[in-house]
This record gives sequence, structure tokens and C-alpha cells, in this order.
Amino acid sequence: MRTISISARSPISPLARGNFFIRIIPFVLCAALLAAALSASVAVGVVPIPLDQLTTILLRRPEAADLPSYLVSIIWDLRLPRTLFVMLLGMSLASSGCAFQGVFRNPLADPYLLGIGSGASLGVAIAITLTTLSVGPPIVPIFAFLGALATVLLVYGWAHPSRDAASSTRLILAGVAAGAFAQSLAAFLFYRTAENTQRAISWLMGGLILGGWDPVRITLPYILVGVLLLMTMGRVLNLLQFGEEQAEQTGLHVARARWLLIVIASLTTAAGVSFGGVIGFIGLAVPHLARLLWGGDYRRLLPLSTLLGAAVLLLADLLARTIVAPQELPVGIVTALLGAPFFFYLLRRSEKTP
Amino acid sequence: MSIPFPPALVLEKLTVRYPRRASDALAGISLTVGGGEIVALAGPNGCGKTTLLRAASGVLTPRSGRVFCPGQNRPMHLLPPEKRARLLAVVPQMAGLPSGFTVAEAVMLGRISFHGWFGRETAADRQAVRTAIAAVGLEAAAQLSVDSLSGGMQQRVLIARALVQEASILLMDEPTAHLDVRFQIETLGLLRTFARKLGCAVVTAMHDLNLVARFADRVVLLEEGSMAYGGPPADVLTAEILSPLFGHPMHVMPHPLYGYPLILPDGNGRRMEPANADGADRTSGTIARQETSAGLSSTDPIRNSPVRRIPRSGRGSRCRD
Repeated sequence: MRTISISARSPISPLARGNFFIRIIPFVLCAALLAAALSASVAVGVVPIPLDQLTTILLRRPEAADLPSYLVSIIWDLRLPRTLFVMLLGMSLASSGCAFQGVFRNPLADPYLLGIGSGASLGVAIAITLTTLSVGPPIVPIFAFLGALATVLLVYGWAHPSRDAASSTRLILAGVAAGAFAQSLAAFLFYRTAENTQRAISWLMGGLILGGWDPVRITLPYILVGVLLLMTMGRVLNLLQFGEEQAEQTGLHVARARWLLIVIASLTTAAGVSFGGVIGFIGLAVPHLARLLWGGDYRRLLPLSTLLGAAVLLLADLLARTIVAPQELPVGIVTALLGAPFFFYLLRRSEKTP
Repeated sequence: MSIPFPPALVLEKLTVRYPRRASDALAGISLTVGGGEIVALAGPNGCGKTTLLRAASGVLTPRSGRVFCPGQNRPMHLLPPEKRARLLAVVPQMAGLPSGFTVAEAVMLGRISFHGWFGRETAADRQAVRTAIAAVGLEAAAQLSVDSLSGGMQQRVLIARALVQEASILLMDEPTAHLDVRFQIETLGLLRTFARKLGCAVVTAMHDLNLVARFADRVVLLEEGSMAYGGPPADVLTAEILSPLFGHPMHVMPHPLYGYPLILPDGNGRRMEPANADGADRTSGTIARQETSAGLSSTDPIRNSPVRRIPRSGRGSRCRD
């Protein structure tokens, strides 16, 4: 048999190969980053809280009675729920972005670029303004999900990306158009009902409007189930990378797989959007970063993106809370301001090393 | 024509039309492929070879007629994909593999009909992958990423992925397109082994008529979507049939060593002039002078002696496999 040599050009880092201990290094790194981001998010804020008091409040609650009650309240009613919700939001955006990129075999696919995020916010706008509900009840994620699903059906049905390369571009164009339409309609609905306009616009720009434990409690089941389900679909996504026809000929029920992935990813996105507002670039840039660092195997990529997405959004939220303190920026502004240049860098890099 | 092989795949008056097209891509194809037989599809570009393979694999819905395996009660395109994948495996025309997988991982994807969407890979799956990788001679590359491989090696990855499906029908679209001469012969020899030893039915689209002549048991010549000729290579691959079909004069003669038809396309009427040693020397001397004056190294072995074997150290370092 002839000897085999390979070119030096390989986008896979050596980390992705090798034995079990080498393979888990990326997971350990991402988990460590997430843990650091979680700690920082709880520890840092407008009101400085010394570390010893912080640990007392968090870990030894009975003893915390000696401390000023507002400190306990800041941690338990503000920072902790917000931190957990931002973590869930980052997870939902990054994992669904990763899944969308895999399903559409398009590196530009992203919950917001495909209009799904905006569709979800339109659903929320309808729920808030046209019904008597207020933001908060568990019904809101359902509306967000319906809005997201309607958008994805519309975009996907119109662009129908099968078997020709041009449809990939059409998909993005349709997504951008539908997203702009849905977002404007949502803004229109908010303006029409004059009260709360300020908060609604802030929400549309990616501000987290609701404090307390409600967002965490309501979205946790949706996001957790969605993210875990997506993680089990790594093999299916891998097969889809070879193209629909090859995947089908290899034995995959392509239509079923694609719809299942789209529905789960839309649900996951919608649950996050229903309370988190419109936050761009996490779903786009985080899976890209993970892919550049650790290769394109979706069985690894999905969990790594999920962890990394949570960590990145937590850090962005930390910036948003502290950069103009005591004011607070919508986190969507931070992710876009940091994400867009970073994304340009990623594009340049991926052109150099195909 | 009677077939010495048990029928494995039957195409019955198969007619296929792509959406929004005025004419049929395939018109009334009837073909029975036996287990253990290699059937080659040949014909000019756009004659329907790839469409025929796609229709046979069940991803196209026929306009009329049907494709079926004896023993299956439903036509191919109505079987669920996982069932189809167990009956037949497809080696697609090579067009770049997605990045991020090792050879072993890419081949393992062919086992999805065995372990399902969420199931664990079993020892049998891993053994099948090892066997298939060994069959195409990629053992040493099993843990390399597919996008670091040359086109020919990627082609062999796709063949291995088809083999792990353990299907009794192999459909191949230009399996030798990206292979060098040696691997063309080796791959087709491998196919013949699968056909003869395992009783696989092999249907392969091929452009190289000489490989068709050497390896196929039967040839189907397609012309604008219909079957123009079918039969053993010796009967079908003749100058009278091939020249009008390809619109180019062909010369066919028995192979001097093996006796099967040797197809030589006409050189547009230009015959080789008898070698003129004087003239050749003068020409190459002119080229060498020009290049030296352009600053190229006159010690370059390629230019000094075009026919001498170049020593290994003089070869480019970018040469792959």
C-alpha cells in the first residue's frame, strides 16, 4: 500500500483528536470560562459587595441576617436571577445558531439573520399589546414560539434551500427581509399602545426588561429541553453536512430531521427572546468561534457552542451593566458592538485558512 | 438477453422529468441488474447517467415506471430512507467533503441506518468501518481529517462510506474521476471483487470507455435520456456505435494484450508526423536559451532533460500521496 502523507493545512486543531483526556480539554476550557463568567456576573455590579459578604450571602444564608438586607436582596433578587437568565439566553442563542448553521449548511444562518428572533419578538408584541396579558405569564414564550415558527416557515418556504447553491443566498435575503418586517411591525404595535414604549423599545434592542426569578422559572424548561435535544442531534447534523441527497442516500430521513431541528431550534430561540429581547451576533459568532477552534464535528460543536455562548453573553451583560454605570445598556448593543468587528476578524481568518 | 446473475435491481419503463422542464430526463429505461454483475452507464455529457443513478437510488420520484428490488413490495422511492440505505449504497460524484471529520468518522456516518439517530456505535459498526477503510486502502489515514486528503483519497472515503452500509447494490457516479491511473484500476478491481465474491450488483456511470471495456460485464449507452444500446462491451463498444453517439470519430481495435475493445478517439484528422531528431533538438534548444535569458536556472533538471526521471530531491515538496 502506498504511503500517505498529508498537507500541513488542516483546520482541525490537534485537540480534536487523540484520546479521551485530550478530547475533553475544550469542554473543560469552556466550562471553566463559564464558571468564571458566572462568578464575575454575580460578584460585580453597581453596588460593590466585598467577597466575604458575598460568600456569606450566597452560601450561609442564616448568617447573612446580620448584613444589610439590601445586599441580600441585590444578590438573591437581582444579580443571581439575572445571571442565570443571561446564561440560559446565551445557551439558547448559541446552540440554536449552531443548529441553524448546520441545517441550512450556511455559515451565515443565525436566529436573527433568518428573521426568527424578530418573528419571536413580533409574537411577544402581539401577546403584550393585542391581548390583555402583560409580559411575564408563561404564555408569552408560546406566542414567541408561534411567531418564530411562522417566520421560519415563511422564510424557508419561500427560499426553499434545496440542492442549489443560490438558494442559500435567497434564504438569508428572505430572512433579513422577514426579520425587518417583523421587527418593524412589533415596534409599530408597541408605539400604538403608548404606555411602556420606552421599555418595549429597550427590549427590542436587547434590554432585559424583567427582573426577578420569573424569566428563569418560565424559560428554563423550554431552553433546557431544547438545548439538550439539539445536543443529541449532532450525528444527524454531521450527516446533513454532506448535502441532503447524500444524507438521504446514506439512510437519513432528511425532511424529518430538518423539520425536527428547525422546530427545536426555533423553540429554543423563542424562549430566550420572549424575555431577553433581540440580541444579535451570539448565535452567529459563537458557533463560528467554536468551529474555528475545535473543528466542525457537530457532536462536539453543539455542546461547546452552548457553553461558550453562555459565557460570552454573561461577559457582554457584565459590560452592559458596568460600562455606563449606574445606567445600563441593552446587552444587544454590547454584543453587536463587540460581535460585529469580531465577526469581521473571523471572516478574514477563515478566508486565509479555508 | 438472459442474465447469468439473479436480479437484484429492476428498472421498469422508468421515466423521470425534472420540475419545470419540457422534456423527460429519462425516457422509458428498462434494465435489470443482477447480483454479482457490473453494469456501466456511458454516454455523452448530459445523457442522463447521473439522473439514472439518482432515480435508481430512490431520491427522485419517477413520472412513470418504477424502480424496485425483487422481494420488496414497494417501489424504491416509497421506501423509507433507512430501508433504502440497507438495500443500496451510493457513491456520489465527488464534490468536496465537509471539513471537520476524520476519515473514520466520515465513514461511520454510513452506518446511521444501523444505529439510528441517537443510538450508540456498536462494536459491529466499528468493525465494519475498519473493514471498509482497509478495503479502500486508507488504514494509515483513518485518523486524519478528510479535508487534508487529496481528491483521490476523498473519493476512496466516499467509497468506504458506501461499503459500510453493507448493501447488496452499489450505485456509483464516476468513481474513478479523481483517481490516478493506478487507483482507477485498483478501485475497479475492488468493485469486481465485491461483485464476484459478495454478489453485489454494481451500477456505475463512467466516462472512460476503456475502463468500461475492461471492467464492465454489461454496458448501457444512454443518449438524451433513453437507452441507445445495451450489451456486453465487445458488442456495444464498436466504432459504428460510438462515433455517432459521441459525435466524434472513434477507432476501436482489440487490445493487443487482453483482447477487449480498445477505444481510441480520432485526433481530428491530425496524424503524428515522423519524428525529426534535428528539428526537435533545435526547438528545445531555443526554449532552453529563452528561459535561461529570462533568469531561470539552467541547472533545472526538468528543462535540461525532459524525459529523464527527476531525482526525488528535485521534486516539489507539495506533492501529496
